[in-house]
Amino acid sequence: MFEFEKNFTKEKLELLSKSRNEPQWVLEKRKKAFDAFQALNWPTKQEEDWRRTDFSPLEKSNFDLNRFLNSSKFITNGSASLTTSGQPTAQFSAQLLQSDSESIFSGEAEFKSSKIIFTDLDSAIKNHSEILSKYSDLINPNDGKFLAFNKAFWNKGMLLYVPKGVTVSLPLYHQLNLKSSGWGVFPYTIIIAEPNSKIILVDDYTSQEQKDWAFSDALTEIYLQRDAQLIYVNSQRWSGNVYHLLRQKAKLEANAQLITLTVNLGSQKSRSEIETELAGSGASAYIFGLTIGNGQQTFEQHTLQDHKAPHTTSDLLFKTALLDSAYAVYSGLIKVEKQAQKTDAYQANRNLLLSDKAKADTLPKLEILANDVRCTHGATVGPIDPEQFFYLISRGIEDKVAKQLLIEGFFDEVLGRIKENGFKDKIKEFLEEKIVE
Amino acid sequence: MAEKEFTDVQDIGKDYKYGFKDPEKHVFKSKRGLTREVVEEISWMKKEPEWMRNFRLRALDIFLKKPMPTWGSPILAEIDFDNIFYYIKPMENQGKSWDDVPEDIKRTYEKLGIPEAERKFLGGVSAQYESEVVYHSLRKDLQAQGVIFLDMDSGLREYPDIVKKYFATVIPAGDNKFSALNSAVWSGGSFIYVPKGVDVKIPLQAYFRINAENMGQFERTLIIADEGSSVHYIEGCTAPVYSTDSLHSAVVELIALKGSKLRYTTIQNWSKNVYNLVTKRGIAHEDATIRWVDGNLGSKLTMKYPSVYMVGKGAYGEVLSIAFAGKGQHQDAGAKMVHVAPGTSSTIVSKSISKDSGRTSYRGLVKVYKGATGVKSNVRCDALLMDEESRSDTYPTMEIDEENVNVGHEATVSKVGEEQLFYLTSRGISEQEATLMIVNGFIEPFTKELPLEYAVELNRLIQLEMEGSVG
Repeated sequence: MFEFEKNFTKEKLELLSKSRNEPQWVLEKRKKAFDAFQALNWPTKQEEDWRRTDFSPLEKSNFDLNRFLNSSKFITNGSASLTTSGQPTAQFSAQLLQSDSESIFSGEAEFKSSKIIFTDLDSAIKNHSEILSKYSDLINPNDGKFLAFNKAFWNKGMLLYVPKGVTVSLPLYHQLNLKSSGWGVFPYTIIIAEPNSKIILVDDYTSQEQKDWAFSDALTEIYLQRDAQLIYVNSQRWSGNVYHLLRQKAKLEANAQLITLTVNLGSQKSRSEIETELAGSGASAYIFGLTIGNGQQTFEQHTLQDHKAPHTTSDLLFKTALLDSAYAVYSGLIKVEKQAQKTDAYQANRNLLLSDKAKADTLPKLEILANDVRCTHGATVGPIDPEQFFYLISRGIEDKVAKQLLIEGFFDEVLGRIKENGFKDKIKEFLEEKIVE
Repeated sequence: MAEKEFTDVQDIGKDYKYGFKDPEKHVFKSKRGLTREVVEEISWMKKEPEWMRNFRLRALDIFLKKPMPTWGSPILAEIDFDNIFYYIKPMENQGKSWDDVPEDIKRTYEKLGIPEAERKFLGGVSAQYESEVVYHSLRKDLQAQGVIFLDMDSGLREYPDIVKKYFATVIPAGDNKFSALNSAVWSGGSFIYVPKGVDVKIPLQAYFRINAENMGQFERTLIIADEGSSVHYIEGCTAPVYSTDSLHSAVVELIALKGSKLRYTTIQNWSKNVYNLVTKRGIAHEDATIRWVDGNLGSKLTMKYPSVYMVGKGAYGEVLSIAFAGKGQHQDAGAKMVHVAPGTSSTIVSKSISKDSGRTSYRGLVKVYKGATGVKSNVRCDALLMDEESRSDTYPTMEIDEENVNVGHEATVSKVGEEQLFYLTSRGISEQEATLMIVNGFIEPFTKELPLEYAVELNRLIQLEMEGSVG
């Protein structure tokens, strides 16, 4: 047995649950996931799905779980902390800022009267177990080693519950900001949007530069009930020596509408799996991805557009810009089940290579079992358009700035396709930070 | 149009005209199954040099060691390698005229229209029946220009140096499980060498026929186009309908030297009890062109991905393919373009039609190695689904290690467009005819690439009256 599994045992799991004063049903769920984690093999490079990015160093790494046991202290309306984190409150209706040891919540008046639950997962277990026990099973722990690991050992988390008919115009902001060294964070996010509700959530992972390796294994479950609408942004800005894994699954009931945007900027090696199940007739999903890689960064992104009901729509656009020796893999599947007639599905992956050492692999896939459908996909890999570049520098713009402008323009297509504006400045800010670097 | 025969698109593949069988007569048939003895026996009967015998035995070891691919199709696992006859020799000596060919076999080729096509528009013909080529011809003027067109066994006997130099250099035995199998038990196939600067203006054709039940046909083709030459090779294949399965596993190696043009056209129409697992690959040197025109209509399962490795500056690779899958069929076809040299370009156009619960899959690769600057590659896949029982998959892969390239892939899956149908039917065209017209339009990029005479033959083969059904 390798170091990793030696450190994550059933005894440690029980200790973790106990130190957080969790009720029995939570421990039982953790244990079930642990059994799946133990039974599953570590993914190896021999498997087609795992051969492009090597996560085996994780298996041999020596993470000490004892350091990640404690739950954080929950502070409501800690306004002092809001200013120190430099987040102006006005653009969000509520914020939940989680650091190594604290969770700080603050909300505007509009939010407070809305009956929305927006809290860290430990508090949710204490106060809203009736909701949690009903959901939190969208992702089956048997489906993968790392997601089983998260379901067993999750140590941060968030619940967003939007009751029937509630709509909030300003976005919610959730941040996980880690400052310690050599951390392991396993965030578990649950979003439940009841019928006819409407909300925007920005989920932001960030950390301080540190010496030791760190490990993030995140899980997001999204339940969209009839006619619910959600915009969910998951942004990853981890520091450079992090291994990051994300599994996100959304299930859309009839006429629900999801816009999901995955932003990948940080970490050394990252792998995101974004699954969207269109389970109810008339459901529609707009699935976007923005990635900028530099240095030795590796990004692997898998998507599944799973059409299970008739008259469903999905539209996917993943854009990636790569500098230095960065490497990106996109592997996406549109799956149309037999009963999902009148499906309209689209999938596009665009890669911009900005250095002669950058590499991109793209595998857009279709599996179509219904005939009355319209499914199209496209993928491109290429450099900056030399004509556009020439146009800019001929107008006296420096090479470097011209390149930056063109990258920004490249990403504008994605943001331009989302109508709601409230959260875009934040995303642009993240992108610009990275582009200038 | 009333007097013209009209084939409804719904009937494609339902009425297989080539499923007839001859009484089985042969001068030698190996016992069922694959053993070292069978491999040695084949080599001994062919009086092969030592190096080829050793090559076969090494390949057998590789075949036995390699696991079955787990991707592709679940029915791949159903192949019973022990139930196959790996070598059947139908007659003693190859015919130089059709009169030398036994009556039954000759009649078969007449039914398939080969002697007629030969008279009309072919420069050379090779007819393989079971494991051996039973008839072979090459026009005198081409012989005089130094063009070599032989069956592979004769090629090995008569031109051992050329064969030894190129054989298995494009597709080594260990490339995959089925190339290893072919390398162990290969028999027949074509050997073609086109000398420098020679332009073979009329196509050369090989026709492959399986007659016996549980037959395994493993032809091996090697085509070398020397500098500045050009050649077009066409192959067709059919088999009788049996209740148990046969296996066809070919290896085709193409070498296009500097500035040459090589084109390889396949019309595959095996009966629906044939596993068709073929490795086809070409190497294109500087400014050379390799084009695969690949039609898959028959077989139970086809797994075939014609490839071009562009190793010289300015080389061009192209695959134009079409696949029909009807009841009980899975066409897992595709293409691979590997760009090793700068300034190379490639195009893949794939069209597929699935009906009556058939399944078509496109599986492809575009790989650009570091240093292959200025590469352009474009992939286009379109699939038509004729009914709700059918299935279509698209599995392309693009691996790009070079910045200064333009690589694009596009694919669509749809049914026959309702608007197009409405447009045509509102002009008094029946729905059946309209559907056929739309299907014909859909595959036109493919049919228009075939030589006119051959396109006519193809029409018979796919039982789809491309022209003449309308108007």
